[in-house]
Amino acid sequence: MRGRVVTLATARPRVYVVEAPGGRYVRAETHRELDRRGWQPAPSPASADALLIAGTLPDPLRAAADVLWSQLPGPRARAEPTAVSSVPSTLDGLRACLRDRAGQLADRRGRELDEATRWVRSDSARHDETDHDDMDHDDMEMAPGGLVLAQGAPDRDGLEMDALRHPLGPLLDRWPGGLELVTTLHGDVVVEAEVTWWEPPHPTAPPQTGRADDLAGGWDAAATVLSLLGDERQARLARSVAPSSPEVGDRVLRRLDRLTRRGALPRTAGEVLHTALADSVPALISDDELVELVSGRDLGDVRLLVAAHAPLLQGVVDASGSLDD
Amino acid sequence: MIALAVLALLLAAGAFSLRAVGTALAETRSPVLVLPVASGRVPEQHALSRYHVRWYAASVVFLAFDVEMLFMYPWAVVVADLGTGAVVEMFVFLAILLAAVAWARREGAFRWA
Repeated sequence: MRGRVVTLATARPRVYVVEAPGGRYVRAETHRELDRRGWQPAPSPASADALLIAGTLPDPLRAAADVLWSQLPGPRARAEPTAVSSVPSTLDGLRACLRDRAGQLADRRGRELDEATRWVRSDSARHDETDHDDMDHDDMEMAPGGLVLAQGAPDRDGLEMDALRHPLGPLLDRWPGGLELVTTLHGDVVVEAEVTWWEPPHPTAPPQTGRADDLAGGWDAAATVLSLLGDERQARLARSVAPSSPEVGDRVLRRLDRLTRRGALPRTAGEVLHTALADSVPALISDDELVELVSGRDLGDVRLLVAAHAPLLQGVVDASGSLDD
Repeated sequence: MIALAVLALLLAAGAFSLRAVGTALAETRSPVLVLPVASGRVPEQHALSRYHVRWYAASVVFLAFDVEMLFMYPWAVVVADLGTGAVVEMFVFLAILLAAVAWARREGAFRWA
């Protein structure tokens, strides 16, 4: 009985797929393999059964990966495939790990040492300390739970708004590997951004190069954008586009154009996808241009814009081999 | 009265047994703690922060439509008896409200980013 329930529950695990620096080809192959098996990618760590980090993480990002891992509810599994060829066996391994009852129970008992648990605990310890101090109540209010409040800054209308610092990346699903975009937010509008690129520990060679590769990058970006817009069916179509199936490509292109006309997709994002897929290779985007691209946009638009420009970002191209190699 | 008491008792028993099942099936007592979603980073600031003032403008515009709907319910009951005049009056009323929405739009209440 238990065995049958476990088999049924883990038949198609939901995998939270994160791209490590330089892991773009492994990540794309992971998505294609998930499509082949009919597994759903998870839209957030909280709804995921498994965490898959595509590519090799550099050491500075190990701690971030542990924080992310602590956000998965149990039973959970984790893997880091580093080569395109190892993706199918990795997915099999994830499912086997989810079905390993003894391992999952041991994992659950060890969660007292989770990154998140430790962080929250140390936070409340800070809070208690300030409580016992004979301090003024203003200090308490300025740092509830031991965390400071955001500083204020005038917004575009001259009204005082909170300037909240919120990181996008380094380890985010449907996000270019290695990109950490620390945004300063007024409400949900990005007013400033800082770009950091995390380098892969060793350069990864792209499995293929040339024109076909540019196009594959374009379709991959289109699939990411469609998935972010909640259209997983069209995203699967975009990922399945091969040079031999122009009519599928046409359908996806028409869908993207319609989304752009309706305003669901920012016009810049729609245009760059159209250029990449139909006409020619658009120009690469430097870090300054990326900051300019996302400034003044709301967070949802920022996700879409970055996803649409992902194959053209300087840091992505540097990390995964240039187009001319 | 007795039926109500029995219902309350059943509900309490149901809630209690759900909790008992949860406790019996849990592997450990301590809950897993969650952080705000921040891509593997921990929060730098508290999430306790001011709402953007644009939400207030949007909610005031919503109120204009909300109150007009309130007025339309009794109107819908009697409009068949009152005839064409009532319909014309209602559309004049709607036009006045829509003028306010057009003004709010010109002032930038819907300009978000």
